[in-house]
Amino acid sequence: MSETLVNFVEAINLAHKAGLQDNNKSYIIGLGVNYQNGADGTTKNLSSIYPDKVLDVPVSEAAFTGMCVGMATAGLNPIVHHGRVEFALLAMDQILTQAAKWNYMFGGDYPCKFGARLNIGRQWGNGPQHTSSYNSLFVNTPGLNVLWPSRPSEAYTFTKALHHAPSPTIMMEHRYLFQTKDSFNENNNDPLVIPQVSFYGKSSKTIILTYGDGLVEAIKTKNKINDSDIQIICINAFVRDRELHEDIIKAIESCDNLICLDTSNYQFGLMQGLIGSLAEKINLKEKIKIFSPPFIPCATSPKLVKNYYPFSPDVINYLNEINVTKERASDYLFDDINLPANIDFSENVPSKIIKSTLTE
Amino acid sequence: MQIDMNNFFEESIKMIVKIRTSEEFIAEKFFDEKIFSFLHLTIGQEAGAVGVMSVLSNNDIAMGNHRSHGHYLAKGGDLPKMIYEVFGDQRGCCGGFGGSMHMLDRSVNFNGSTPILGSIPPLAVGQAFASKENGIKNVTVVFLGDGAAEEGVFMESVNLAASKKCNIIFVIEDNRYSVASSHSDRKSERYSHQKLIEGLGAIYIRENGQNVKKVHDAAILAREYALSGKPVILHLDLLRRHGHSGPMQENDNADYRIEDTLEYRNENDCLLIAKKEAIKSGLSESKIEEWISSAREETLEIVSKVKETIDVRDIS
Ligand SMILES: Cc1ncc(C[n+]2csc(CCOP(=O)(O)OP(=O)(O)O)c2C)c(N)n1
Repeated sequence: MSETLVNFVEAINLAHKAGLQDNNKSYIIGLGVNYQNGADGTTKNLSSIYPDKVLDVPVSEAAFTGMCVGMATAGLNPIVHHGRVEFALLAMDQILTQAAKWNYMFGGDYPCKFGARLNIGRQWGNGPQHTSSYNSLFVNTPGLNVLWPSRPSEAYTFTKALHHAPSPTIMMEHRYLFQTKDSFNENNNDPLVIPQVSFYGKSSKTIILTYGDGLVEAIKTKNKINDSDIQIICINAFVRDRELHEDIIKAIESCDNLICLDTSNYQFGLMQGLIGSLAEKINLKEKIKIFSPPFIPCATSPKLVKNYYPFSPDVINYLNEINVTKERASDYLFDDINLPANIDFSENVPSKIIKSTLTE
Repeated sequence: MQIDMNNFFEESIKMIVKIRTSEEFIAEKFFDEKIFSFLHLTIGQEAGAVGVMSVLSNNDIAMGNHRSHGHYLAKGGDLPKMIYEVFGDQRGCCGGFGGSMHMLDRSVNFNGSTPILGSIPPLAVGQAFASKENGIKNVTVVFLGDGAAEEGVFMESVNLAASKKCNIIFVIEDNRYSVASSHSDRKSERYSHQKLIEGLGAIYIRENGQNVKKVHDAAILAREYALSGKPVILHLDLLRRHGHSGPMQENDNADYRIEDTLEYRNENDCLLIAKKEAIKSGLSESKIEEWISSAREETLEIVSKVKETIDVRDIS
């Protein structure tokens, strides 16, 4: 039981420890995962306890990811790790064309218990080739479960789920969240039951819709203005089909202002997909406002990225303009924009969680 | 940058010092601007870049990877623009868009560096193929690490270059590690670069990359083969002085290092070896020390001036 404060990295590490212990068919495979402080600390010290289960590999993403897919079709539970989503792109055939379709194309009795951890998104100074947010590639592929932990407690639950994944499951880890903190119980609940959508706050006329590292700015916004004026809906996962839960639709239908907080490129991406899905059912035109990066990659120079990611002051000032709040916020300073998120989530517990179960 | 054989040791030693001094400066000032532009230092293994570039004409093309400050400077890339880029100033060689992992100076045909392992070899094959199509008689040289050389696409690129008779040299800079994984962590005991490469129809040359003169001689041979339409793999054995990434020195013997202890790396430092070779060729030690200190001072003067003018923020 851990009710102490842990960060995102430590949460994944704890879950790996539990996962390797609970399931002796599970593996962690990737470049440098066996280092003492492997995978940015998420696999710290694991190889000394499980030297045959935590495996370093040649620099050959296509091959070692494919090996994991092969293992996953032979009854094992491998988790492949890629330190940036860009590195996983070298293995797209194996993930999208092999793993995702395996069970389906062979008639439905040939499961592929493949798990993947892909680091994604913003990281200061990493420039255009290490900060991409290719969420939509994965969400748009039938046959994949896609998980976005937005806080350490979810990173814990999701990582544990990967150790038992009955079907191809991809965890998208925002590196920006690695230093955020949280407290939670290390429980023995069914590892396949995972949060799919988290609601923060009671129903409200103003809703912030977000996922992954967007939760940081959403929470900062909510905490700054009168708490009850805002509800946050945070998408945590898509399991099997991409249907939106009716509670999301109902909440958004009855709100006046829908703020979409997207840290990825919006155009034809995950968030625009969500909005498209909602727009099939309800009219959003009068109430929607999108906060997202411009449709360009993320540069390295601070001057060039100053206005890249959407930040809480922008949202607060917009809410002021539309008379939701009297608060105004001053622009972020250099460190607020550029250093990793350092928020403690433990004071912000979801008021409602819609759960889902991973299945074959 | 092609080096005049009459001044080979002077020029190559000065270039090694220029690369080292500018990187040491970057390492020291790295945290000042809080840019954290993803940094991979080449200190220790400069002789590879300098020796190879010493045989290239301005017309020849070079491309690199995540660890390319040395490649860029040795090809004649502009030093102030490199410093600006690493620190995120928009006057940098990529306008501040790229950062440390993206070096570019098209005026000297340093045609770009990219950090995704295995991404650059096929791009270089494309540049070499385009030279042929455009009737330009030159060679394209692409630098990759021993880790990146494990990517399947590298083998595919060698095969493609051989089948299209491209004028290309793939330089494998083998510093023994991919981050902290040694060859034995990543390769079968019977792994043979030579058999693989020759099996693909390319020429394989292996050389001590710490010795700039030996690299130079090997590169002359490689360039001749490449110009005749036979792709070459020039495999250089090098020693990285620092850790894989970041500005930190590896003072203590990191536990992943096998025999390349700090002492070993110091004994086999490429600057030291170049000095010894120069003395062997009849040059005086005091002359060599003069070159070293003048190159260091010159570089420091340039980089310090640039640093003073860096302007990366318009917020506090
Ligand atoms: C496709 C891909 N996978 C992983 C990485 C992360 N990475 C960056 S450098 C590096 C080590 C590369 O070793 P090597 O090619 O030998 O070059 P060196 O760093 O030793 O110069 C790794 C694994 C990457 N950039 N691209």
